[in-house]
Amino acid sequence: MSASNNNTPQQLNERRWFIKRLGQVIGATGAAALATTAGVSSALAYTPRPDSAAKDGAVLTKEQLITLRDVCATVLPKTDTPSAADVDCHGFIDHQLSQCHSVDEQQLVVDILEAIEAQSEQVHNKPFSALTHAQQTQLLVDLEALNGFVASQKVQFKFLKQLLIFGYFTSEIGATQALVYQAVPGGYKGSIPATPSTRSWGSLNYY
Amino acid sequence: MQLNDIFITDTREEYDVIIVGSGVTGGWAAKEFTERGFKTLMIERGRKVEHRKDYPTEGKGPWEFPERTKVNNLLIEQQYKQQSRSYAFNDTTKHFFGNDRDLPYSTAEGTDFNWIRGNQLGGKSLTWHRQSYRMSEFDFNANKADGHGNDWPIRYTDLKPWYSYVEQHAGISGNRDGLPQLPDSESLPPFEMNSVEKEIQRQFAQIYPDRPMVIGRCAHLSVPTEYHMQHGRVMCQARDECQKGCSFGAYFSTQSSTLPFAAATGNLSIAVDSIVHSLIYDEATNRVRGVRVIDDNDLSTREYFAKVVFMCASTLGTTQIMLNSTSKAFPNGIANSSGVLGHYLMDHCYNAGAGGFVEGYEDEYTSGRRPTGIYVPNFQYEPSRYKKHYVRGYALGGGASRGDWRGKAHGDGIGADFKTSLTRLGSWYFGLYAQGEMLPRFENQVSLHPTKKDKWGMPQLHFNVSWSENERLMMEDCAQECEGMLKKIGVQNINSFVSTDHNPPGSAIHELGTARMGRDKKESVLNGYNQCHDIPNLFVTDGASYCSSATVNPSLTFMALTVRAVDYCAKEMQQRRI
Repeated sequence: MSASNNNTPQQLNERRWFIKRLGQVIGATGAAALATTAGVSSALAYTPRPDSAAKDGAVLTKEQLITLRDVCATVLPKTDTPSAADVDCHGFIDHQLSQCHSVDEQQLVVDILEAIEAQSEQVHNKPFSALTHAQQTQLLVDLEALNGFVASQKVQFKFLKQLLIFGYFTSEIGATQALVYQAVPGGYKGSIPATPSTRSWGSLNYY
Repeated sequence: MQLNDIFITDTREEYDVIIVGSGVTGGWAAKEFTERGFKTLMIERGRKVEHRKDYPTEGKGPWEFPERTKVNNLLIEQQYKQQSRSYAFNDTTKHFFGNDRDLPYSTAEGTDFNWIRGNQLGGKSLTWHRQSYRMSEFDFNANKADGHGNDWPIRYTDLKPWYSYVEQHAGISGNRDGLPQLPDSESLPPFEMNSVEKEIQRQFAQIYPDRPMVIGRCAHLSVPTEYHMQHGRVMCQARDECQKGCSFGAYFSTQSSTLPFAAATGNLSIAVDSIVHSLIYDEATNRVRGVRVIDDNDLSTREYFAKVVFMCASTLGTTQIMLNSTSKAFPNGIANSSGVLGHYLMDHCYNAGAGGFVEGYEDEYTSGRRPTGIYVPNFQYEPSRYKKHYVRGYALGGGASRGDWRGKAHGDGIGADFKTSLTRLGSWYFGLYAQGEMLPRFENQVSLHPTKKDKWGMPQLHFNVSWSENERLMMEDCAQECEGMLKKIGVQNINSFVSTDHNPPGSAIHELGTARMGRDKKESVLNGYNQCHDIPNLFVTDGASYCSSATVNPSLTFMALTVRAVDYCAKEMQQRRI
């Protein structure tokens, strides 16, 4: 299975744990086989693509996807970890809207992307994608502060933003690099030290 | 375990025992009978699920699911509308839930019922929430004490040794708290409370001496014994993804705990994909002879025969089959001379709670996903402790945890600093929610629909069940009490809720009653050994047998009822009285 060649070091480490602990029960060979079949098959999963904004998506047009890609890169930009656009959150959002959301909810996203474009044209006389990163950031800050936007548009944006954040932290990079992923914690500890820079767990019981 | 050798389809053999159902109680009945040397046939309406092999989603990250663990909305609309109302239903677990398209039921006008299904080998033992508490002497006395429902024909002391027996085998983690309202289990070490919970426990003990807060007891191998490890079960890894199945065998399920023992005896046969249509009844001898089965796949019919039948098909599954088993002697359902079969349906009412933020403890976090929470046992457990305006009481579940991106996603923020803040730890949050007792009421009935049938030709169940004023008042009170308790200990920004109008009965997935036990055969279906008053070789040991719901999660009690009933039945068979 080709997916098993693309694992992050953390993931491989987690899988070793899984195999090791399982091996105590059912023997190493069986555990390895199980971890391979049950652990890494991603044939059906939404697969991030480098070119999601290159053509029309399932719900969004190519133009809307370009706007969305840059919204993703603005809300969650590249830092010491990749941006939301780097992990194809825009492609994921288009997919998720088509699979799990109503036509009304799809329209919320279309409307706010159109509104962002309209505001960009009005203020800067340029499409959102042609703005500098600072201008893009300011425009979305203005959106949340209701400068040049109305409250109903903020509601639309919040819906999109939550989908974006969900998409990022449930992506492999978001869950395992931006956060810390514990596939097999090995037990529960009620108190471990934390500092302001401690990252939260990306491995959750419910998403 | 060579499972393949024990699966059968057609047979002419007369078994000693047929067990209908393979979940928590069916698995126990199979283990107990086969270990006593009885040739046993377990019948399961769903497909075969083998331990480890058939847990296809186990160990997967959210990115490995097409919609990141969410379920396609068209699929929900067409096939999982009811099932998706369960907290545990998502794309990683949906293969262990029933398909609503094939499993229709109806509700009386103005009522609603949430029937969550688990039709596969292992039943809902694969997906249960694993909370495990003994019922107390107060619980068994409750109906008698306040006159609601009929008196249980047994008391705590009758069940006590059987609780110990099932606990030692299943593995129940918990503290020994020494509380009369929540008898201790023969427990494995408890899971740890986090520091916030420990502090709240200390404060509650001072302010509310009658409301002790304990760590939730659950069917997990916190520290397995040698016995568990010898049988291929190891320590709970604190993944808390249990409903996907657990290859560590760390929580109790049919697959991890009872089936391997039954299979090892050589006395077990299993028929899967076999939907029991009705019981075969012989009027001349007043005995059941076996069951009629419809094949799940090709709808063909076949029959299985045995000297004794144990109904372990889940509360509603069992009652549906019994109502559908009619004869001249029992025109309204087998063993139903009392007329109460289908009546007194109960659930638990989980429809109130409160939560808020706890200041401080910012230098602490937790590691691992604890598969249990904290628990405040029912503190209104006898009439002298009842509130004035309603009867019985509620337990409280809950816990403390630190927030993460899921909560922060609602906030304002754009850019690198916002991204960083999403990855950092949020404030501590502490919440409590109700686990309320639901009264047994004759009006809360499930019956066979006069005309509607499912694809196998089985009459559909028709529900006429509602919350009574008692449950409504209890939930209002619980929300206020929770809010008051949190205020007293300094929790901030408290939100309380009452959701009785939103979550109909069934939502706690604790269906109970409908074939209740009792001393008087005129007002009950079963005697004190879960044996039908009317028919000596027919037993019901699942949740259908309950006289009252109490407040504790029911599974541990129906495990104990089952092994006690098997012990009784086996002795009766040896004495040739059955």
